[in-house]
Amino acid sequence: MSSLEIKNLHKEFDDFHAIRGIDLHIEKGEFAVFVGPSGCGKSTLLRLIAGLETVTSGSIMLDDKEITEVAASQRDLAMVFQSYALYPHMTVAENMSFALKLANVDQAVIDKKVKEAAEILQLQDLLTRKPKALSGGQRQRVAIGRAIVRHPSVFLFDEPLSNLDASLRVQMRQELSQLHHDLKSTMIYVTHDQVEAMTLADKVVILSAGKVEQVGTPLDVYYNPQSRFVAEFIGTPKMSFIPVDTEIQNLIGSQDKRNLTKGDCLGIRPESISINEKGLQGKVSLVERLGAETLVYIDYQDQYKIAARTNSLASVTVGDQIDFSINFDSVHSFDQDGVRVSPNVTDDLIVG
Amino acid sequence: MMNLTLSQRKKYKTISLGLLSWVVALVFFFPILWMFMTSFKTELQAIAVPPLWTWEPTFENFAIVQERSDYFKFAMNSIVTSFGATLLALLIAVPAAYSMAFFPSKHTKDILLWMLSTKMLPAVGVLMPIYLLTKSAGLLDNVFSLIIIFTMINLPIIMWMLFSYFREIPKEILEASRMDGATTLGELRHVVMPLSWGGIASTGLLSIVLCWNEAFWSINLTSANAGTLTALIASYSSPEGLFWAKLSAASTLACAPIVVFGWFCQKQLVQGLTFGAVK
Repeated sequence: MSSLEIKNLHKEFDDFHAIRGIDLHIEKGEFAVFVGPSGCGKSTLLRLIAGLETVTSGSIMLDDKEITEVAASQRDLAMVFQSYALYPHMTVAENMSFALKLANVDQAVIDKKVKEAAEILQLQDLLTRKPKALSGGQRQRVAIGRAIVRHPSVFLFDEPLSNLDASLRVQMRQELSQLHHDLKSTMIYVTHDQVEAMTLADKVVILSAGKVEQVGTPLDVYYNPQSRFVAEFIGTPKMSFIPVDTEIQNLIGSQDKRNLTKGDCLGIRPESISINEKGLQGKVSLVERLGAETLVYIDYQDQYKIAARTNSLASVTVGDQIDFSINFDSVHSFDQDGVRVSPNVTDDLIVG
Repeated sequence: MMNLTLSQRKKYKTISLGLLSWVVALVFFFPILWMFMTSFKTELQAIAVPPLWTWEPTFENFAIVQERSDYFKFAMNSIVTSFGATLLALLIAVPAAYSMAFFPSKHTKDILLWMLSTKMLPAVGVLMPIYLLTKSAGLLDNVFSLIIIFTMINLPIIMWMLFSYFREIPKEILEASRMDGATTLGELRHVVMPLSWGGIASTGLLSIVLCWNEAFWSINLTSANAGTLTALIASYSSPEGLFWAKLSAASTLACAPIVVFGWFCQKQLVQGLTFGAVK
């Protein structure tokens, strides 16, 4: 178990600047999740940490040891790949023991470690099978087992669940969470799925265009997005944005401390909207009934789409003209550059 | 044909396609069959018009061939040169193809094409320089020079084949082995080679067959000492005339080992090639 320190890291491919100066600290035993839209550099960052790509400039430290130029095979990190990347010609047990064999570990020790890992992952009955005789979920377990037997300094996961079907994904997500709880190892996890990020992470690292947009706990990035990008990326349905105009200014009232000016915009989470309450008017463009709740999409001023979360039995139909109100206390505001202007919600409030 | 059901039509199609493939196969095979038959005829029977289909087979041609030109010596030379050259070529090509398949540069494709382009040059175009080089190295009529030349002429095709087999191995598997602590050599030994074993074997077999059948260089650079079976066959087309029966006997003897070898390897190779499914 180790901590990881990244300083001013850059990676340039031929004519593409993929990582643009990243500074990051990951604590011992922390579960850090890199999340961002495709092409944001999250996988590249993980591969740089793994040593599968060479660093253009900057440094990576594992505890107090500089590993920037160390070969991947010497870094003592384990990685779980999206495609599982099992060795097709080896059995499950051989796959899991490969690293230990290369390190000339005693066979008795290898057997013991493989057995332990197999128990944790419920693979005991599959040890003699080849990967092609396993299901997707079982393969992913073997890939995780291959990492566990090594007791690496840091576990790296590169979108490990994205090849699994939805229900298996949820199950494996919970198992991973349990695994981190049991092993207490440092883990770095890359995903484009914000639900995985929110549910697994101690620390969420949101990346955009090769830069860190925000680092924080899952609730912190949800309640205090520091930029419009983060606000839009975290949360389903997405946060809705409307510009500040006279009508809005009147509604907010003059006591508001934010000093909103025209050109700023408001970011509204779906739960901050109450439908069928006096305030603003709009036209219902879509209703999604999910059972436990209903999502109502409202066209506001014919050009802004606002998503509202309401109780499941709300009587709205597409095409209705409806009144809705906004709970301005929980609304976020951003200036023209997309930077947050509203004050942060304090931690005790989030927990409360 | 109009009132046939779909399954009947399918059946006729299968039958006619089967017949066609048999005809094509027989056309290809016929010269070899004729050569085989002729090797058991006397010289007179061999040139009889119309050709004889039934006769009393004789083994005298084989005896004469062995007596006149020590068949086993030529066969041994063929074995040494084709296996030696194949081994040498694989030793060079496996690491080269590995590096080109998994660490390609901007020019990898150009290099591959350039290698193939060397095969477009007619061999006779470099006969003079190679002959003179071999001569000044004192390697004329020496299996060693043949091994080197066979290695060179087969390297491009071996490189291409191995390159395409290696390319089928997902990159992540190699990356996984690197994360597991494998060095480059370990990666080659424990992952790349086992996964492309069928490909390497069939490449090797092809190389052996190509070397075995190579005639141009062995005829031009060797005589009694290092001559291979192709040189032996050629020696039966002499200024005194063609001796069909003996020529056929020599040819049959030259073909037999590689046909038997190929027959034995066939099962393993087909298995190896189709088993290679990595995913």
